[in-house]
Amino acid sequence: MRRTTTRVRWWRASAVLLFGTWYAWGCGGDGTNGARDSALATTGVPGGPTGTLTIARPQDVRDINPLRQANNATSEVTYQIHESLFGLTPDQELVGLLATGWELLDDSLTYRLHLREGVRFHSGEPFNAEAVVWNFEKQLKTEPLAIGSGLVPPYAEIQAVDELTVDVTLEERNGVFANILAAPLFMMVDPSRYEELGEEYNKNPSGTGPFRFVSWMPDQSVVLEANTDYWDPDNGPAVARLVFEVIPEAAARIIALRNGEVDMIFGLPAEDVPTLESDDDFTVLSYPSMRVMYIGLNTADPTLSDVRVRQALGHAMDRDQVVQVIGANGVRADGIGMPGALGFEPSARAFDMAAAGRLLDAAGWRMAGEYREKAGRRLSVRIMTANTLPGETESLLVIQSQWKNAGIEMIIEPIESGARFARLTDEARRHQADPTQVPSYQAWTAGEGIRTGEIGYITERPKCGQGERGWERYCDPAFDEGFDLSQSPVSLDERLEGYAVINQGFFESAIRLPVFVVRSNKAMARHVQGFVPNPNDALDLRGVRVGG
Amino acid sequence: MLRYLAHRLLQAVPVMFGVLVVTFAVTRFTPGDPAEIMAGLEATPEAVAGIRAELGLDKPIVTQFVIYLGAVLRVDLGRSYFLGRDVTELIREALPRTALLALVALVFTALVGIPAGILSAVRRDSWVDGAARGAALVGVSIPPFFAGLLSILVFSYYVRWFPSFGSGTWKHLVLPGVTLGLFSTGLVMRLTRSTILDVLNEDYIRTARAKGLSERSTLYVHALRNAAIPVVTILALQLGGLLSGTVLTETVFSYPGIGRLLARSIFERDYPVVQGLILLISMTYVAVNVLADLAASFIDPRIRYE
Repeated sequence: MRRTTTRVRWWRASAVLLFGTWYAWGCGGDGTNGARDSALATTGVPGGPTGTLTIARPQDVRDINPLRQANNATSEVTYQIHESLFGLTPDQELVGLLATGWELLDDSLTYRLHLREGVRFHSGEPFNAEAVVWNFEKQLKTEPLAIGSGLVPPYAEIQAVDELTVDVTLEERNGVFANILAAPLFMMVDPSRYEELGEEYNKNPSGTGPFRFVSWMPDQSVVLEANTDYWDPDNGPAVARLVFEVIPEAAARIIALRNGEVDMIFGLPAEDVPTLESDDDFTVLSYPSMRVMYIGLNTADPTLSDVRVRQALGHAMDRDQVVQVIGANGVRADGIGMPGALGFEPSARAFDMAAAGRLLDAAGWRMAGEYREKAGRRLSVRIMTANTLPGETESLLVIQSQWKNAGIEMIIEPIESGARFARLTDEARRHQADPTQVPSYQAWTAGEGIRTGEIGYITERPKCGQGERGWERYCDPAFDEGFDLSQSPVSLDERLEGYAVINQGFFESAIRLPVFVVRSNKAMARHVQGFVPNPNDALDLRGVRVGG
Repeated sequence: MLRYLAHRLLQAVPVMFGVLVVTFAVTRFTPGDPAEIMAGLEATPEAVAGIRAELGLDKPIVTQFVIYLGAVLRVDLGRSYFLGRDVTELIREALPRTALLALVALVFTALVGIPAGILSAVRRDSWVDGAARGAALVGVSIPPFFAGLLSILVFSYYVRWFPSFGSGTWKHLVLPGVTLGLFSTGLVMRLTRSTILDVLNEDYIRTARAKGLSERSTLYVHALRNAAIPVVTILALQLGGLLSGTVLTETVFSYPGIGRLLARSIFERDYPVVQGLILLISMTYVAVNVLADLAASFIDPRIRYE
């Protein structure tokens, strides 16, 4: 009894000491083709933009120069300052932004882009055909090549036809050119500002977007202000100030939202979705994104070179059970892509343990105790994971137990993201140069997002001869033909045939095993109105307002 | 004293050179290519090669080191690959914020750890001693990550005294500063207690008491001064640790200091920033060590450096 009392006194004393000190410290006061016009939502703002919208995100921008960086966390911000020629609606419909439309000329190689009239950069310089030509040349022809150079098809010639018309003649025919220009990897930068500031462009970037740059304090915040001269007065900025705060810790982001320190948070953990959903003060936005998490397989690996083994791995995965476990982190993935993306068709194998067993038996892998073996070697697949997606590790643990039921051992190999990238790239490059140098990796997890509205964005790399980017070490000329057809400027029906070949290729080859489509979870205070999320995570904040 | 100081500074030269070599080697041999990370998946090999050339990473490793060494000697730490700004400029922005945080932590440590240690020693085996030792145990064992979240929950969410993130006002310093100082406070409390208990058993203390000095005079005039040397040394060394150990605390509190800059730069393989920050932290340790020695001689006149 006495012992208990003494303990209680100790705790009280400690608490008094700690509280007293903290209190003492803290107390105190203080028309042509394809694209329609861009009115995504008409939100006239009587009286001009007012108030401040503060958004807390887990990551900071990497740079505020869209020529150099375009990861999601970066383009969410740079997209407020700069704009692309085209955009994608939440339904992934192509719409005009700085271009009003395009037409493919008779040579099937030249795209004529019609630009919007009366648009000016934040610097006051006009946005015109010359600016577009400069941006193309800067991105694709000037060393070092810009970030979008790998995505935008090479062009032979570009010409300013008049003030508002540009002709781009591609080296090869391409049917998704306008979609590619809608990706946030190809934003229009103010040539005069870039020429003036060079490497220091990120200190005062200038675009045509709804918000102007004010300041960037790395790892803390980016502050923007409304561009009151925005070219679309009916759908311009509705807040006077836009602040992107960086709060890496999820719990701290939620507290900041509850405290009213921020208006909106990104990266809401799945486990907190129900709590905030049941709170009348907040609106939770939880929707499937355009990002699919899959397991990639190295077809050059001695075990995985047998297509029956890869197919068995696909059959032994119960993706319904996976999404039950990961909850609001994702929805079931049925293929490489997701419904809504042009060209998507299911290509995942159905969960069928009996089929998995038959395939493995046929491949010579027999049960020996808990796992299957062949010639004294255990059927084992080592998967590299950087755990960059919420629910990634949990999904692997579920699949690990499912595969075990089929006699397949999964070894999960956690690895830092940059190191994983380097290993996959280096070993794929070596194998490309010398096929006897088989990559030592077997499998990896990846989360790839579509930013052009069609699956070609994430399905090109299994093509033959992809070198350091061809991590699957796969080559099937039929797949290549299908891919090329899907990207060619023929009729949509013909292109869909190409997409069907791609999807069939993924199904037959089982080089990528889809797991789940990542859900994007955001929460905002009730006073934030007018926000319409886009599954491709292109952040459109035009018309979003606070209060009233 | 000046000769001693000059000697110590000379000793620091090979240490710093070693730091430069090791940091350079570790960054270059860690898997992961900044050009690849910068270019992303969509980039062509040509684009990656172009970025690599622009960053000077296509040159032989020895050439890269010689260029880097020459630049460091000109006090040019290079330019961040990602942030596109001079490393010295980034340090100039982040260091004062972290230094301020470390100072708050240090002051908290001194104001709480030392008095609690004295009290604990004087009231040995009482409930006060038990409470102080219990608090010290919590301080040294609680992970800063957990302590940070707990303090945000209590002081930002429930009682709303302090902001939950950011920097700029004194209020932004309190929670991260105290969280950062918890470990060193516990350490200093325990050290103060044990050294005072040792000193109190010394012959000269018995003599002082025999002379009829009051217990207060015996404690504050004789015991405390002699017990202060290891405490001051540990406090000074903690300052170095506080500067370099802010990664978790700065992350939890979204505080933009050198800890977060370092963590970000490591993940992005931003070599110039990593190298610059490691150099800075090493220099801080060296400087703090010298200062601790000088402080010891100031406290105890018997210690003389020639």
